[in-house]
Amino acid sequence: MIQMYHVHMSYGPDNPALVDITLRVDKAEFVFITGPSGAGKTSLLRLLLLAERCESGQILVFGQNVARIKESQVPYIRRRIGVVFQDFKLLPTRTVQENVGVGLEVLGKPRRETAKKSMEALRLVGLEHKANSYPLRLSGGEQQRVAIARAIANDPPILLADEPTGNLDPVLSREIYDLLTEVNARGASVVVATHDIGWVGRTQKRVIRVERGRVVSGGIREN
Amino acid sequence: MVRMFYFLRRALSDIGRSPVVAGVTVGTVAVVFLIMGVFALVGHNLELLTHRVGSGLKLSVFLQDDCSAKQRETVQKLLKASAAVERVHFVDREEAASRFRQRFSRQANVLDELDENPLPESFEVTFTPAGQHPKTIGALSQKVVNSPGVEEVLYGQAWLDRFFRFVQTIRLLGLVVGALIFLAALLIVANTIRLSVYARQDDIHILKLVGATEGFIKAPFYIEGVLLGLLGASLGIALTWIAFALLVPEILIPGWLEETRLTVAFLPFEMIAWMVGTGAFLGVLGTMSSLWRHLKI
Repeated sequence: MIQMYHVHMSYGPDNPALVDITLRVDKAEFVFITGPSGAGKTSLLRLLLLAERCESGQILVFGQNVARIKESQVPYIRRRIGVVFQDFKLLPTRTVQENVGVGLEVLGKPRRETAKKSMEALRLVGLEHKANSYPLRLSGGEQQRVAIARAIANDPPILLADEPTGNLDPVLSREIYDLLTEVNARGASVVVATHDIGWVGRTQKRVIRVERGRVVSGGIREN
Repeated sequence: MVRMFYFLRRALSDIGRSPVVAGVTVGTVAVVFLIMGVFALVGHNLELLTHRVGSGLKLSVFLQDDCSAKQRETVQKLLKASAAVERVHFVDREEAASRFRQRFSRQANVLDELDENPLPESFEVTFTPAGQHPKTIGALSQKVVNSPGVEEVLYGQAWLDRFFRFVQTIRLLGLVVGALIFLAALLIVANTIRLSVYARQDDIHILKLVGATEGFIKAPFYIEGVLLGLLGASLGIALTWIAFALLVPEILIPGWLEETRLTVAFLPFEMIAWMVGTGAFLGVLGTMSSLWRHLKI
């Protein structure tokens, strides 16, 4: 589903962010990317989301080399990748249901279908009763669940999560990981960047360890 | 179609989110179109007046006393050959005398006291609507005045030239002022869209992340710009009409215009449609310049 070969990326000439990254994430696999702050986890996810471009190497997403893709094609790749951020990135002026439906609006789905699918996603994260609330009236955990509902509303084959529990306490973090596991069980490849090593250690998921912009372990699954 | 409604909804919600800014923009654009409307109104009525003056334009070609029949025929042919000419009427001495008697009935006996009718023969030339322009008439006059047998050519040159120069000056002034205030309106619309872009930074960011295309992100801004332009233009034209209805009968008609049996007309439908279209164009242009500078996707 995702393959990176010898990928290099930097923020300026003397500021390399990722060095010779090679990794692979299979279909319906759940993978953690861990490492200390500044290791390059977020840069890696931003590359997959095409928010950044690499200088060299190949990035295959859905079998397509997105490292050399035209800018006009970027939105069409993004439509098939759900994304969750540490700071939720919800729109405060839109209701929870409208926030969840934003990706479906982009796809040009009719209003009724958008409403139906966003309610389904909200049901999955257990927040259908908050559909008409505004994000700022929800707790941090609830806001992150709304963000997950938004990311999965159109059933993307890939879900990327960047420190999804960074702002949450351990109980709420557990809820979010359970949710991500459920999304994975429904068939999506899930890539979670986190420095929450304690929790990661208790799961049976593959861990890709990144340090100083390099993959130090777990880049390729060992069978 | 679904998308169009979506964009329209988004644009209306943006306008609704900052009604004061939108109101001020529409108001300013309306004032701009009011000024444009007044210029258009003056221009249009001058145009009508020009046609009215033009349709009364005549060229009189007076012939020399010793003008031969052949020379007269040549002059007549020359006049008739011009595409601008509608009709060429020959006025012989008798007709000239009878006209003189009619027009100057008190001095009619002056002619009787003379041994011989001193009035010259002449051609009276009327012009087609397209030919009723001082330049055309002036050119024909130049051509004819040097022909053998012609004594003098008259068509009220000085007065006509002054009038048409005045009309041209007003037109030019209208164009310059129109262009300047159009630019000002453009800046105002662009500024409003810029504020909208800033207000929607978060939306734009999220939309990009979920795969919105550039067109999808920009379309509501264009619709917003067009709506503001259209509303402003329509309001400006409505204000022009109100000003016209209130002021014109009181100030203009009881004065000199009525005596000369001239009426002042409001803008014709085509001109109104053109102005409303300009409003929409203003919206598109303002949005384009604003997005170009402030929205990097």
